[in-house]
Amino acid sequence: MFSEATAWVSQGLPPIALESCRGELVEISGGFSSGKASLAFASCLRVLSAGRAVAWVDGGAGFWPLVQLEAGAFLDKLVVVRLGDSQHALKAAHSALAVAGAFALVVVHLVDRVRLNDMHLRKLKLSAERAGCAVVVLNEAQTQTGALGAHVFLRLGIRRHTPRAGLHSQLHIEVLRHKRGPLGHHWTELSYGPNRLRVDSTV
Amino acid sequence: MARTACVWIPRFELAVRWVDQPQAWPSVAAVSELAQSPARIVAATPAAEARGVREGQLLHEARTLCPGLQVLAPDKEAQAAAVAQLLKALAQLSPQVDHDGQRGFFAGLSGMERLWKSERAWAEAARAAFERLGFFSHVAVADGSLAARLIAERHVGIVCAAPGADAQTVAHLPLATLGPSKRVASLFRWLGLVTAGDVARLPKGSLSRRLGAEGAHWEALARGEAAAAWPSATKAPRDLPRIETELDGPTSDAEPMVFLFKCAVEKLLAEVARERQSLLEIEVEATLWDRSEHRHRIRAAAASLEHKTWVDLLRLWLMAKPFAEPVVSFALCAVATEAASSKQLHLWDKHVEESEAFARAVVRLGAQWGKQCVVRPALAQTLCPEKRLTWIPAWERVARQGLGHADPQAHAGASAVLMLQEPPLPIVWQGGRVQWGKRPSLRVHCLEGPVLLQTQWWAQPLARAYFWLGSERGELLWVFKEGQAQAPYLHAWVD
Repeated sequence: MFSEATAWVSQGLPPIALESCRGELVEISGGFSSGKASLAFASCLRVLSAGRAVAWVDGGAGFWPLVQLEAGAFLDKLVVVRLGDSQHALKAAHSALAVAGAFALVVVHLVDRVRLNDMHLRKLKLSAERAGCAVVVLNEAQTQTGALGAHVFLRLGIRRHTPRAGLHSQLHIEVLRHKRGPLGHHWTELSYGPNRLRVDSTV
Repeated sequence: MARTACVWIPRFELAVRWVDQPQAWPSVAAVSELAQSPARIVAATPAAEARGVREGQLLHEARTLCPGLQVLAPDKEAQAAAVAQLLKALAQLSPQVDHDGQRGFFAGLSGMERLWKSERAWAEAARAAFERLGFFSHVAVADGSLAARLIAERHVGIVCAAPGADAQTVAHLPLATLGPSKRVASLFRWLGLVTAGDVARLPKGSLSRRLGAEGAHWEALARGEAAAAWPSATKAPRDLPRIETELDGPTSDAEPMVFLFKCAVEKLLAEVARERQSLLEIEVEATLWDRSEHRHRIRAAAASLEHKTWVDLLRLWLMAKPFAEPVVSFALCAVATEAASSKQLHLWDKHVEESEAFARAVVRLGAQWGKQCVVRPALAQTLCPEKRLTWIPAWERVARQGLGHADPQAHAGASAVLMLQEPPLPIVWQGGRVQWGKRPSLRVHCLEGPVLLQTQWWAQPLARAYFWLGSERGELLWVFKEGQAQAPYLHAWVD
C-alpha cells in the first residue's frame, strides 16, 4: 500500500515515517474503517523489518494482522496487548515505555471517542522521551484538537475513498497539527486491499 | 624477568608433508619454492644434505650435486593447518603464544613458575605435545625470543639459557649465519666484524647512524635485545564458533528453517562478537533425510555483525530450494571473520541491550496485564477464518510450520490491516444498504464475492459465503452469509 510503486499526490512532503518521531506523541484521527491502523502498521512493519520491536496496545478494536502474517511478514517482535476496552490503554502504553530501548514504536488503538486526561498525556510524553520511542495514538476523534490536545507533536486526519470497482481505495491524509512544520498539507495514497489472489489467503 | 621459550621444528616444510609417513624420511628429497625465480631449496632430508644439498641453495645447483633429488612443492594449506594445530597445542601450556612465520613457535613463560617446577619441565611438556602431533622439535628458553630461537635453531634437545645471558648467548654467533643483507654484510667485512659479539662491542648508536633502522636492528640483535616474535594471548588460536540445530522433523519448507536460522545466527554472531570480530563468511552444513550432507558457504560483501544481513542472505539461498531431500538438522559455522570496528561493536552491544530490554518489557507487561493479554500473532492450521490467527504468549518462540509463504514483495509496503469482529455481528443488508447496531446505514458502493467456504464437516460444519463490501464513505467490510436463512454477519473490516 505504501510501497514505492504507489502513485501519490503530495505538496512536497515525503510519506510520513511515524517511527522517526522518537520521543513524541503522534495522533491519527479518522472515522470507522478510515485506514488509520493500516497507516500506523506500515510504520510498524518498517520498524520490525529493521529488527526492532513494536508494541501494539489494542483497546478493544480487534486488531487482526492476518493478511500480513499470511503474506510472510515476520512479526516475531510485535507484542500485542489485548485489552477489552480503551480505559486502560494508556496505562498499558506506560508499561511498555517503562523499559527504555525495549520498543521503537508503541501504537495505542483507542475505540470510541476518548478524551484523555491532560496529566496522563504529559506523563505519556515524558515516558516516550525517556524511552526514545515514538507513540502513535489511533482514535476516532473528529474535533480540531483531537484526543491528545496540545501534547501531540503530529496529528494526521485520514479518510478513505473507495471507487466503484475493486477493493483498492484512496487514503486522503491531512496534516492537522505539526509542532515543527507547516499545517494543512495533504496527500493521497493508494491503499491496496487484501491480496486475494494468493493461494493461501484466508480473506 | 619474563622468559620466552622457542619450540623449533627443523625441516618443518618436510615434516608437514610426512607427518603420517615417517618412512619417507630416509629418501633423498627436498622442498623447493618452484614458483620463485630462481627456485631455491627450502628444506632437505638428511640423506639429501649428506649429498651436498643445503637450505637456501639454488635448485639447479642442488640437482647438479644430487641428480636423483626428489623435489617437492611446499604444501601451504597443510602448513597453515599444522601451524594452527601446533599453536593450539602450545596454547594449552601457555596463554601467550606466537609464530614467526617460519619454523619457530614461541610461548611466554611469565607466571608459569607457579604451574611448572622448572623451565625444563615446561620445555619437556612442550616437546612431548609436539611429538604427539608428529613433529620432532628443539626447545630453548631465554630472556628474549630472538635468543631463544637462535639457541633452538642450533642445539638439539632442550636448552635453558641463564637469565641475563642473552647477549653472551648471541655473542659467539657468526654474523654470516644471521642473514645480513648484502649492504650490511659488506659493511661488516669492511669493519672486520665477524661475530655478533664484535657488533655488541661497537659504540652504541654507531651502526644506526650509518645504516638507519637496519643498523639499530643489528645493534639490538647483537646485544640479544631484538625480538623474533611477540607472544601474546590474542595470538592463541580459537575454535571458530559453530552452532548446531536439529529440526523437529524433516522438512523441505523454507519458513521453519529460516526461523531456526535466525536463532542460530543470533548465537553465532554473539560468539563472534565476544572475540571482538565480525562475521565475513559462514558455512551451512545440512544433514538430509537420506543421511547425506550438503555444505554451502555464504560470504557477505563485507564483514558484518548485523543479524538481518545474514538472515536475508540465508533466506535468498533457501528460496532457490537447494536441498534434494528434506533437512533433518543443520549447523552454522563461522568460516571467516575480521576484526570488528568500534562502530560495529557499539551497534552490536546496542542490539544486545535492546534484546534484553525487550525481554524485560515483555515480562513486565505480562506480570501487569496477565499472560493472556500480552501476546503475539501466529498462524494456525485451520480453514476456519476466525481461528486462522491465534494469539500465543509473547515470550514463546514458535517455528513457522509452513503456514504461510514469505512473499518478499508483500511487506515492501503494507497490506490492509483488518479488525476482527468477535463474535461476528449480525447486520441488516437489504436493498444495497448495510446497517448494524446504532450506526447509520451505509450504501454499498462496490461488492466482491461471494467466495464460498465449506469445511470441517467432521466437527462443526462451516458453510459460509464471504463478501467484500465497500461503502460510499470508504468503509471496507468483510461480511458473510451463513445457514439456510443466509443471514448476513459482519466478520471484519479494514482500518
